[in-house]
Order: sequence, then structure tokens, then C-alpha cells
Amino acid sequence: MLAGCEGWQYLVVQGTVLCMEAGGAVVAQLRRGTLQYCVLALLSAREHYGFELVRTLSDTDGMVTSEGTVYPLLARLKKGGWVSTTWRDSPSGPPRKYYAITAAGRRALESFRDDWQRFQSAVNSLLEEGTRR
Amino acid sequence: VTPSTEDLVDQYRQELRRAAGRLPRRERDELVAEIEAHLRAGLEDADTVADVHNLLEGLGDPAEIVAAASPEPARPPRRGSVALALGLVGAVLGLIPFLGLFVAIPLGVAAIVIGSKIRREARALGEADPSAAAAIIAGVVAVVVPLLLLALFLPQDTRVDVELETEELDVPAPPEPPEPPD
Repeated sequence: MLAGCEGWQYLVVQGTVLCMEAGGAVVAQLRRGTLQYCVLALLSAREHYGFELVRTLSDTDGMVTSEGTVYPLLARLKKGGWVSTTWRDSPSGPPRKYYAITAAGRRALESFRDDWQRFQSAVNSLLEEGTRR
Repeated sequence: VTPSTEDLVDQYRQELRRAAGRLPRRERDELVAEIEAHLRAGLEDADTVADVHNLLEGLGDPAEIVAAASPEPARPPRRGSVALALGLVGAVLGLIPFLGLFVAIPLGVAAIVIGSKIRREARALGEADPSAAAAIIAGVVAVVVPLLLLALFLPQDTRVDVELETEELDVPAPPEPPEPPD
């Protein structure tokens, strides 16, 4: 019987954890879909080296949960031709790899900016509609 | 830098190299170089062991970083459903006394193990895989149900049956195997 009790307790705990994950998954997917454009937006102001870019993103609340995963994203953006890299000497220590936005990256960013603004206002108006009733 | 912080960073480097082993060589070298540069830059401001811990935790689990670098189709989408099917079959078979012990529990354990693995991988990609989660629950049911049945029915019923049979058979008869209870 004791084994059975432990099993049921495990089941309840698992169920609770899974429900919480379902809520977090929406934010995680939004983050996953938009992070690359946030990177492009940061780079559109000026070029950044990796550490600096990652720190800026992770200082923005909720944008990055694991800093290391930004580097594979940067590699994909480079492969897709949206960013380029240049090595530059640093005032202290070894040379740094700087990331800059390309013309194709700027076009992608502008297109996303339009889509996002339309999407955001649509969601906002529907959410406000919900609170009014 | 005290030896213990160096140990921490070295251990992280080793984990990263091990996890990155399955990436294509160029991607692996690039990723490792970037993380190394991040560690170097971060360690410049890290004065205490706590700072080093924060730096490494901020970077995140090496397996998670490597998963983010892996090409998307590396994760077949149907495996969660396979684990779920295992767990459900196990949960149903678990209702059959005794058969449940030998069939449902292995199926349930398999569903839990595979389901947890898929869930971990999905979570590393920032997603939730509902079928993997359901597989874990079905697996737990498949393990728990036969154990519950065993705990509820085995101690009283079988003991009584065996005692009755031995009392009735006072003449040594050709040995018959006691019938399994339904």
C-alpha cells in the first residue's frame, strides 16, 4: 500500500508541474520566435561583441533564460546572411568577434517590426475586450 | 582566482566539450570558441566563487546550449506518442491481475523513462511536449495499478486458498499445481 501512496503522490506532483509548464510554454515559444529580431534590433543600433550582446539581452527581463543558447542563434543568423562578423582588437585581452546587421537583416527586421506591431495591437484589443465584459 | 573557481570553470568546459561532441565540427568549434570568449569576459568581473557560479548558471546547461545549436529535425516529433502508447497499453494491461506485474510494470517504466527523456529534450528547446508528459502519467499509472492490485488482493486471498487446499488434500494425491486465483 505504501508503494501505491508514493505513486499517487508522484502523480499529483507531476500533474501540477505539467500544468505550470503549459503556461510557461506559451511565453517560451513567443520568446523563441521573437528573440532573433530582438538581436537584430540591438545590432541595428551598433555592432556588438558576443558577451556584450548576450548581457544586454539577459538584462532585459524575461528575454533570455540561458545565455549560452544565444550563441547558436547568432550562428544561425550569420548562416542565413542576416548578420556578419568581424574580428577587432580589444583594449584588454584577446581580439573580439563583433556582430553587425547586414542589409538583408535590416529588411527582415523592418518586415518583422510591421508584423509585430499589427499582431500586438490585435492581441491587445482582444484582451481588453475580454476584461470589459 | 582560487583553485575551486578554476575547478568549476574546468568542469563546465568539459561538460560543454562532451555535449558538443555530436555537432558537426565547424559548428562545434565555433560554439566552443564563443562560450570560451564569454567565460573569459565574464571571469574578468568575477571576484568570488558566487560570481563564478552566477556566470556559469547564467550561461546555462551545456546540453541545453548544444540542443539549441542542433538542427531542428534532430527531434522526431512522433516519439512522444510512441511513449504514450506504451504507457497506455501498460495502464490497461495493469488491470489484469498478475499479468499486470510482468507486462504492465516494464511497459510503464519504459514509458516513464522515454517520456522523461523526450520531455527534457523538448524543454531544452523551450517547448513543452504534451504527449511526453501524458506518457509519464500513463507510465506511472501502469506501474502503480498492478502494485495496488497486488497489495489489495494478494495477501488475503491467495493465503486462504492455499490453506484450504492443503487441508482438503489429506491423502497424498498426485501433485497438482494450485490454480492461480482469478
